[in-house]
Amino acid sequence: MSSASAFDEIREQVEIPSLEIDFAAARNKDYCELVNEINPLHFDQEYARALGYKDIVVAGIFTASLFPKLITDWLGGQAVIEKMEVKFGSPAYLNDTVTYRGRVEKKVIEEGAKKLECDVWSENAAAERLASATILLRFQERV
Amino acid sequence: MARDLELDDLRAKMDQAISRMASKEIVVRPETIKDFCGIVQETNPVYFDLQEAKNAGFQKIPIPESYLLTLITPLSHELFTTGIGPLLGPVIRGIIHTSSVIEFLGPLHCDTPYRLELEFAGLVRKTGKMGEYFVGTFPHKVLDARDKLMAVDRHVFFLRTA
Repeated sequence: MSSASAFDEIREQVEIPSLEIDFAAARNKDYCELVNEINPLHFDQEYARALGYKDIVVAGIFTASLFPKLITDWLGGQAVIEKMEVKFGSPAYLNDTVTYRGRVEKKVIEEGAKKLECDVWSENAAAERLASATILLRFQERV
Repeated sequence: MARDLELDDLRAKMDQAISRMASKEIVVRPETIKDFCGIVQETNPVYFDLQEAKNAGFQKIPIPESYLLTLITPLSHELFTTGIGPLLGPVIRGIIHTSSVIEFLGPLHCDTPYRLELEFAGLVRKTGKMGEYFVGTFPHKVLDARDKLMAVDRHVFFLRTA
């Protein structure tokens, strides 16, 4: 569906166009520098392995940042995110290519406001689910 | 019983440590958002071109919703260093962010002062396949210059015991 989609044209259970990102070492390093990362789990392989992980774990705040982007890539400025509940399951590791997917679960109209509830999730190249979220959107247009 | 007292003691110390943490004034610069957009492959020009932002009806460069979790990281960092870090050192060997409930209550913009505040909303002890751990809930708040709540992220961390 194009970014020109309007609320009325969106159907429940429709899939949101997926988004793919490679959490390559350079990208992870740039992000760690941007946030002045202090948790060695996100940049120190030895530390991560001592905790039982197979490699550096990409920060949850970084991986979860792509959930809102999945929505804004799809709808542009037509809707704003009101709420996002995200749960982290398996970690995304350094150099993982992660695909973000989603589906419209519910369309509602509350006090004239047009809203969508979407289930979104991320998965690695082995199709293992890494994190999932529920996102509530409000369209700028009103009934 | 002793374990309950130990947990109650840790809760009380955490509450005290967090209440001592000062709120943080923060202004997000457009250059930071431009860097962030490069990292997450955000290509919408409203986030890095002021004229495009103005054409879209913004007075200043808007902060993308995808940046909110990044915006509040100074609070988490202080929480685990000078905040409750000294309390956890002997008993915690790993910190894992397991979930967040985020409410976006208003648009955020670059070159605009905001205040970040941290709260402590509870600590419980659990046991799982990776052993014993604590689960702590820490709301991270973003307020504008008039103290209006603009966003809140209820961060939940698993604190793995040593």
